[in-house]
Amino acid sequence: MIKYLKLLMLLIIFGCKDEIVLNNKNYEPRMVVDGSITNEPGPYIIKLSQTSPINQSKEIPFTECKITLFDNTGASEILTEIEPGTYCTSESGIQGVVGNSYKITISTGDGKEYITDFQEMKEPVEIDSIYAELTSITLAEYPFNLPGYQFYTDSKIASGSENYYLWRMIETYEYTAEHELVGILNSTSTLADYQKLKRCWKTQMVNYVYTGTTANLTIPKIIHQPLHFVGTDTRKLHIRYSLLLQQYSIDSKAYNFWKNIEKQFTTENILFSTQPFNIIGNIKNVDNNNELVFGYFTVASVTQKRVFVDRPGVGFYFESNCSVNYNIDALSRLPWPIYLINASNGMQAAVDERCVNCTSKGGVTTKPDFWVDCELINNEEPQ
Amino acid sequence: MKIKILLVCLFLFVTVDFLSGQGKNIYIKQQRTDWYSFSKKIENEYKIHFYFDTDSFPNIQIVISEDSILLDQLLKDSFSIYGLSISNDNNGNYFLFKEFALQANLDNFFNQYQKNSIGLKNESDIINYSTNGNDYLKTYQEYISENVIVGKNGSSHKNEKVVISGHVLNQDDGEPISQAYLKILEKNKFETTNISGYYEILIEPGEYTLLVNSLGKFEKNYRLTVLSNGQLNISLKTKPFLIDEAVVSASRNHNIKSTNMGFEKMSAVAIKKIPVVLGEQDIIKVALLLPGVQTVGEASAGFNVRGSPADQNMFYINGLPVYNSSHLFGLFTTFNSDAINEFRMYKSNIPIEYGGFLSSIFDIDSKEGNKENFSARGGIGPVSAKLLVEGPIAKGKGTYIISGRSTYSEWLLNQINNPDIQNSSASFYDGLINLTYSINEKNNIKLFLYGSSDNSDLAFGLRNQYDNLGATLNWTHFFSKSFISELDIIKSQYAYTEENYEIDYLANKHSFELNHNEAKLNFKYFPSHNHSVLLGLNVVYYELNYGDFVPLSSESLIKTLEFEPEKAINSSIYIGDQWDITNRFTLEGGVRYSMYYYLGPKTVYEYLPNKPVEIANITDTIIFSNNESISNYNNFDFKLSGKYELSESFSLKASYNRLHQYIYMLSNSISVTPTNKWKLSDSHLKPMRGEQYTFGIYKNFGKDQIEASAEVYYKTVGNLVEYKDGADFITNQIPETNIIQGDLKAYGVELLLKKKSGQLNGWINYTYSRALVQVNNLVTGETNNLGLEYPANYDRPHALNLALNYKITKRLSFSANVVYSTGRPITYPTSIYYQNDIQITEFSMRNEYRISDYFRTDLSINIEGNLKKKKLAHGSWSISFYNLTGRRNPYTIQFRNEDGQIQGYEISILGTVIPSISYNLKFGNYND
Repeated sequence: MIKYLKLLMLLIIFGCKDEIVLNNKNYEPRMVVDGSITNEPGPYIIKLSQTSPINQSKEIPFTECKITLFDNTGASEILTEIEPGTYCTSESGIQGVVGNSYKITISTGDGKEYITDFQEMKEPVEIDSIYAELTSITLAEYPFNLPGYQFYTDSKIASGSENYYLWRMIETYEYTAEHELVGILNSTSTLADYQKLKRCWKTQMVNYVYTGTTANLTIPKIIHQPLHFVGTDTRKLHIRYSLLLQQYSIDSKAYNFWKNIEKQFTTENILFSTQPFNIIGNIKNVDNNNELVFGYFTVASVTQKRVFVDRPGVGFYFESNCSVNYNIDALSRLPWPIYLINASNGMQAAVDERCVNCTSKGGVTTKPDFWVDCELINNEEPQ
Repeated sequence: MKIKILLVCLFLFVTVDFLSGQGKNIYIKQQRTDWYSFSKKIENEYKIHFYFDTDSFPNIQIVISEDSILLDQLLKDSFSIYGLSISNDNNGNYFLFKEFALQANLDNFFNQYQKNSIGLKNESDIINYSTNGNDYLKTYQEYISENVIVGKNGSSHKNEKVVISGHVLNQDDGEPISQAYLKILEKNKFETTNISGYYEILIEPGEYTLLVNSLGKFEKNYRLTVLSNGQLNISLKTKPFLIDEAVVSASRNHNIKSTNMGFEKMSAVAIKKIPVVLGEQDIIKVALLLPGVQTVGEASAGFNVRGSPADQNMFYINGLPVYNSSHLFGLFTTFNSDAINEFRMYKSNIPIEYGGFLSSIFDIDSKEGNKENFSARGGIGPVSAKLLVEGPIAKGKGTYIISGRSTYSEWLLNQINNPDIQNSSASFYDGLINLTYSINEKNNIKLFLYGSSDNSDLAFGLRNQYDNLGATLNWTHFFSKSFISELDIIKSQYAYTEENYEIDYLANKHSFELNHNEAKLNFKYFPSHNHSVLLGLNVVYYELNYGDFVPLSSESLIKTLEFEPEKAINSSIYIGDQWDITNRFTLEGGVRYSMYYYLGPKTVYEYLPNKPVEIANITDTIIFSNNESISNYNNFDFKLSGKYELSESFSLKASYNRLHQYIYMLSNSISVTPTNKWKLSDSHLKPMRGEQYTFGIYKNFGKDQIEASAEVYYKTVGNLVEYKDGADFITNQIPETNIIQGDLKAYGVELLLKKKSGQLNGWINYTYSRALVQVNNLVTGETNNLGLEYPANYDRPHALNLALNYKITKRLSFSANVVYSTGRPITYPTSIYYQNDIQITEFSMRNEYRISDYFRTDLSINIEGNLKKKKLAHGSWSISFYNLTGRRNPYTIQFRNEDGQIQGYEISILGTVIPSISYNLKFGNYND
């Protein structure tokens, strides 16, 4: 059915998409749980927050709660609130062990009690490979094919027949500031300071999750499972890009939860879409079954694998939003300091600070430990 | 036309060439004159004598419009319209009678009534003068009144009622016209014809004025002299659609006189007038302009009648149920309007012979072939081309019609500058064959074959095909004039196959097939003039094959999931009667008893009592053998309606209708997807039960030219099928675990004002309606929306439709639609929360909010080819603009996460003006 959504996206050739202002309707804060325990060494983090109004979305920490983690061997541990709304187990506390079961209880400052069922930590399944293929996709917004890398994964054959996976990804990419600084006027900073701000690496969570199962397969193996697509309409593929895939083995209930999250993202609520609904997690109010509590305490084993790709040799659709001021005569009227670059016409021109400082795009100038430079570095500077 | 002839008469001296009875030419220069001076002049100049009663004979106007005319013809033309008869003795003596003609000479003198195959005609009983519809008569058609004598003198006593009976037939092809109305003006007596065009009027001997009319036909007017029992067969001429207005409702006065409520009847003529999308005429698009018919959004398959879900409607074409009536993902319907004669839509008070669908019945009649000549027509539009051929078989004993339509939409897709669309393909075709054969006067046989098919292969890895295939065989037997039987054998199949190959290792294929096998026997009995009885029985055998879910290719790792087929047998017996208690008061009622058996082989699961129907609560598995009854439901359906006429043009009606539905569509999407599985009621899923109460006021103004009506309804549906959140029907082998039954409540007021003819005609209607669903199973504790009532997806309280047709000249007309309705309800995001740094939306209560209102204007221009009387073929152009104002009517609101913020977009599907042009061509003239 999701397919028909895409079809109807095509039919929008006759139609249109108009941005609207979303209004806050009947906002009522509710508790949200977001956390997990895995077979990797702790500490483990559980975040408690409140839902936020739709046009002011942010994590509103839910503080001063008592979270207790239990395992099925009888051990338990109270988590410490290390920062508002973020609760953490201790280094020496409970460690996730495959085959054991875990649950949490939460008691809030105003005396409400919440609980999850025990969930078993499943056997981890190794990722066979993660790889990218250069392809192109069609988006409703672009009337042409957008080239980019489509990432895929294969898993090793699992030992059990029914495996449920949640795939999360963390992407890291190398990029440079839009322009190279050649002069700086009326600033305490020096040109040398800006040499360090030329090249950055940015690491972030991929804002999608993917799920899969071998429950309906003849062989418990995932092959050529499409994951994340990175298009040439962003700066991500300008130099070098790396994707870390984390494969979580979860139980069927957690799979249903995450699958619904995945669906909510991909269906985009168009024609033929199913009735939208609230995705109910595994946290319940002990006294009031009808209270809506969102989120999931996930028990999973995890394996991970990383892949690097370089800038593809195809056309780019990324447009820099740096404006260049060629009118040198007007320089005196610009606010200081003034950042000068060599413009394409051979003259010097002025740009904003963010155009010569890569950290303005959220990256860091320290190369990550895992980063492997490409042997054949593409010297071509992005325009 | 009228003005032209008048001019000719007034300003030109026309040479008139009279041919006398002996063949002698008589020339006369003549203007418009009166009968006395005309007759004197002729008597003076030629050896001709007129004999008539000078005291009582009216001095009528004589108009000569042609260069040369036979005197006999002129006299006939001039006098028959006043109910006067003429005969001559071939010696120049003309006898003019006011009341009846000399029978001895009549057969030679006048054109005899055209013979037809069905007419149960007894020559001696019938005297019927036919007017030949020449230009002269047409010009003065308001005066046309044929003089007809029924029966023989002296064979009946005065004051003893006699029966006039006969058939009303289409003059163009001799086909019977059902639901034609006959009215005796003096007695205010009203009759309609049955399905074979047959009527009976019980009346005292005497003189009357008889009006006969039917949808899309010229009205006929007779001066009737009734002497004894006798027959009168009547043929009505079709109104050419260009020249005349779109006739929307059933016959004139029908809205007042009939017991029908929530009823619409529309002819092919009216369908043609409505502006279209991409050149395709479409009965559902027309239906959507009628009160009480809603849709979730544009370009979605399925529609909603009086607050019911889409699967509570059923389309029957010539009695054949069509389970998927959408082409091209819902943009068009599978019925080619070229081959449609008319459709009737029942929104309430559903005829007792149609059980099994709670909301509405679309009863479509396809055309029957031309009895006289071979004929063909065709048309091309931006999306499809169509062709229809028809003609007689076995010297007019039978007829055939073959119609087909096919797309060439591929080129259209290739024009669109979007690689995904260019790499997709979509096509459809449909066709029908309708054969009729009249074995003898008492037996008619009809064979109808229908098929439609859709194929699409979409660039993102989804291929599907769905087909409807069906046949009906109908045998009508006339035991007597008042006792008719009809036997129907019906087979309908709907099947689809869907292949999903986007991800190789998950590539899969699944399919579905529904077989509807039915035998139906109806007896129609007219025991007296004020009763019409329908007695019938039918048996439907359903076979639903859920194809296995299988891997599509060798690379696919998909495990085959086996699905068990379903079988059920539903037998019904029903009886209905329409009883005209007095001239003003009519009651119509019916009872239907249905017996439903859900049959094995089947694996049936039992669940913990009072617990949700979930896999976790399964306690037992029972295996039923082939044809073993698994569950059984017996139900009574009722209908009762009454009409009371306060006056000739003012009536009140009320009705109650109760129905049960044993089959429904598995669909949890907001609008209907192109391919859907159907499911039969079983031991867990109870049949849906619908009840509707309706009350209406009907008033006509201006000689029935303007019809006004108000209907109020209240409807409930019990055991409504709803779905659990995130339900999946493709891989779930136990569908009952996805379903939760609830209740639907719908009510509304429908106001309609309709002008049926004239240069400007059309209708406007306003509907206030609500459709509310509640799913709260108190036993198992399962709910949707926390058990609270919520509006259905198609709940649009205010709706206003305007459909207008303006005829500028005979060859040029404009049509326009204006559509307004409240925006449909949606479930709105109310807050945001985070999981794994991903933003998740919390939603409001179900359908708590609405998208903005819907407004659309369409315009079409119809241009007919020249109107020469004799020509080989007639062409017409139709230019349409759908959504003329280009308003972006939102279909839905899309919520997307963009850079950490939820952004909302209103999505409109046909949010721009869509022009189209199509050309239609037929052999013969426009009204043949």
